[in-house]
Amino acid sequence: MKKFISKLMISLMTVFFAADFTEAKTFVSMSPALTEIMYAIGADGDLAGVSTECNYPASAANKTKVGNSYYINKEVLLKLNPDYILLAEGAGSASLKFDKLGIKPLLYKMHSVNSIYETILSLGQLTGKVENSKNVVKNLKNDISSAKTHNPKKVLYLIQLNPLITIGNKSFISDIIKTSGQKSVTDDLTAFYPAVSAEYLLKLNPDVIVVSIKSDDKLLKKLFPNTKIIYLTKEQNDLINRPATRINKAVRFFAEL
Amino acid sequence: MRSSKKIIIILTLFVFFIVALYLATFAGHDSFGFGLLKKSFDLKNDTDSILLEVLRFPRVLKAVVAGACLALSGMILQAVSKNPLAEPFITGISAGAGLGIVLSVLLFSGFAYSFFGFVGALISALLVIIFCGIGKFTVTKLILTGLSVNMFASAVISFILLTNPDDTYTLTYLLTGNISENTGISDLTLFVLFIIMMFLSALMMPKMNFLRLEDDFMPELKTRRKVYNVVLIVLSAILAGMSVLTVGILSFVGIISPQITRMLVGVDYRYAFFVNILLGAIFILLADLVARVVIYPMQIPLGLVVAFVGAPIFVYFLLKKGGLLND
Repeated sequence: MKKFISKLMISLMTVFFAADFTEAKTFVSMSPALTEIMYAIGADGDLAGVSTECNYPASAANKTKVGNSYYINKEVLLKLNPDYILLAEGAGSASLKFDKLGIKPLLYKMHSVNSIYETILSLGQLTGKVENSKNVVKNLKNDISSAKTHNPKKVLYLIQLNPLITIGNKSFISDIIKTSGQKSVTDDLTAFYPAVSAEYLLKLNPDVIVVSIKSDDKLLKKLFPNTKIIYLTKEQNDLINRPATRINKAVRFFAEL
Repeated sequence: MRSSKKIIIILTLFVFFIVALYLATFAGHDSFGFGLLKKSFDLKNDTDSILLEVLRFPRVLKAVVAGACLALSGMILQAVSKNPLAEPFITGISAGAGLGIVLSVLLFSGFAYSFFGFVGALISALLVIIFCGIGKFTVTKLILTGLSVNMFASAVISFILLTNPDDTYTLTYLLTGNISENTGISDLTLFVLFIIMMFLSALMMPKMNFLRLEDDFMPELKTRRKVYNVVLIVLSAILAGMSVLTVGILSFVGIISPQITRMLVGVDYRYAFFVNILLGAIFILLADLVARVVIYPMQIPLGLVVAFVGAPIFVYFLLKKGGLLND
């Protein structure tokens, strides 16, 4: 009986310790923004795979590619066998399918500067990098508060020109523009990235237009013959269109318009 | 039906056309545009004049061109194939046009995508006509070859959509059918091209009346019919291509407009020509007004409005007493 009890104790303890000291949880990130955050808080070692769109920091591109926002290779995913798959909102329907593979989907909503901070902190907790994540958020907050402009301009942000797609007030870019002290002229649209008519834009009368993806801009120039139009470079685009740990630079960009 | 009655129908439609033209140019989401109409006479360089010059006038021109070309193209193909289901894109044009648009977005970031669509449409139509053989041309061959070319090009489009996720939204939007804001050719060129095509088509209308006769009725018709057929199909392909240039891929008008025309004035193509192009133009003008106004400041893709509004209207005409299915 003694033997049995000691054996039981030993096996119970083994289970207990095994649960506590298992190797760190592994992740696959399907969002460039979440990948950036994982790197910034020093949790990139736990990142087993990324999407083909994850290109920052440069070393993220060396991780195993699992797919893009339209297609995920389930076989590659199974081979990596991560504990969690990180998804940005918009991939909601896809998350249903991962439970069957034994991979827990984590969906992050990043609609505002504050929700970006929350995401950073919650990833910090999940990966055991709590201090790092707190520091990242603190630094971002400091930098952003010093960047703010006090002469607001009316900014029109266009995602693309054919068709004309802009940002609504549900988009985090709208919040970034607000945070920078400027005014987004499309802030009365309750949507994320609405396709709008040229007639509507014409009546907004912006001071400066920022275009994310440049294509044929003949119409835009005819509509706004006297307005300053800025076309973002590839790097600026990655910076501004990602709700991640470089939003301080995005805020600075808008503040300095 | 007496010809005086047909002329009255044409004149009535013309009045409707003018009303549609007015609304499409001046009405907005919040007004019927009387203020804008007054302002359009004094040419100042303010927002309203930019609105009219840069946005509304070109848009209305394109709507008229698209409506008339689609309707006419459909009518010609229905006459040639003697099949009321024939539509403008039967000659492989839709997928060819789609492929052109997709390639322009991928290779030139959407520069003059409509023009690429136009070229794609013409190339695919040309391929289909060559495959059919001009000497040994039959309608069955045309339909089946057109179908195959469409299937092939659609597969290529789907493949490109899947492998280029960044552009998927843009491409899906552009492929739905919308008044194009950059056709790649000037509006004046478009207008001149349109007038020329309408003139050529009008010349062919009396010949199209011959096609309704059976071959045994007039033996020498049999050889001439082949020539007419090929000429008409080339004509309809160019017309459908012009519709792609102006509104992208949108063919439904090409089926319903000729059908309603047949109900109104019968099959004498000399009259049907005018009724048909007016109906097509009115339909697209009003559909675009709806697309522009209903969910302002966003707009519904024109292709969706055409389907939403067009399908119920068409079913009504099909089922009503003395309608299309009861003659």
